[in-house]
Amino acid sequence: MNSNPPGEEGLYPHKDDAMHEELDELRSLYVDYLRGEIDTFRSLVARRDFDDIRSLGHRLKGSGGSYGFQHISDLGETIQYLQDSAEWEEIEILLHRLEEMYEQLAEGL
Amino acid sequence: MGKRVMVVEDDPMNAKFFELTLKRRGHFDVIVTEDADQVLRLAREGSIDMIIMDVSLCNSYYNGERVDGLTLSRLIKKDDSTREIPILLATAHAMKGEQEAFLKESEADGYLSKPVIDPDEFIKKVNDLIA
Repeated sequence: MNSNPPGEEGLYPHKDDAMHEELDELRSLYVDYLRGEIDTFRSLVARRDFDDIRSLGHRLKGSGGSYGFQHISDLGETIQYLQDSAEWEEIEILLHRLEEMYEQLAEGL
Repeated sequence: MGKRVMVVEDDPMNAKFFELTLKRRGHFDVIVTEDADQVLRLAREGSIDMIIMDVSLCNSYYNGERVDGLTLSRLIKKDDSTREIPILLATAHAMKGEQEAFLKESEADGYLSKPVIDPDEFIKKVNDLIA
């Protein structure tokens, strides 16, 4: 995988060391994991499960940046702290943004 | 033998990241688990030098009750045989004041925000707590 994937804004600090190759493999796994999280997100939206959507945001926030995908963490934080008053239309837009990010990352594999 | 770090984490990608970083950058022996009984047993056996504890655990149960990392940490700190093991709380919670509240509730020794942007800083925190 390219060490500077789409969407990565210079926050990938693992270049030029022994971890690099292994992390690249894990980054591929992360993109697969993201695919699963998107499927989960979609089903949670379908059943209007607000609490688990926030939990999903929490997971994304906690994991993305560690693999150099800070934009995934940022979106995860937005999802994690959605207000009770959030409209489902707004949440569906966030789902769509995550799908776009996934597509971009998958293309870079 | 190197120092042994136990990672208590329910998210598989966070667990992989911690394991890789601790092994490759810190040269630690690493155990990853989210099984509360195993966490307490290994801690009591004296084979663990430090614990990285995720706050939000989805699949961890103790005495039939679901436990989060704060409760698990507190159980370790209340036990005379395990209280000296340093615990670093790891969480993606980011609201103001949560860090202090979590440290107070858990009695943990340190706090780590996820994601981990700087692996060297993470390893330094671990080394500082183990020392």
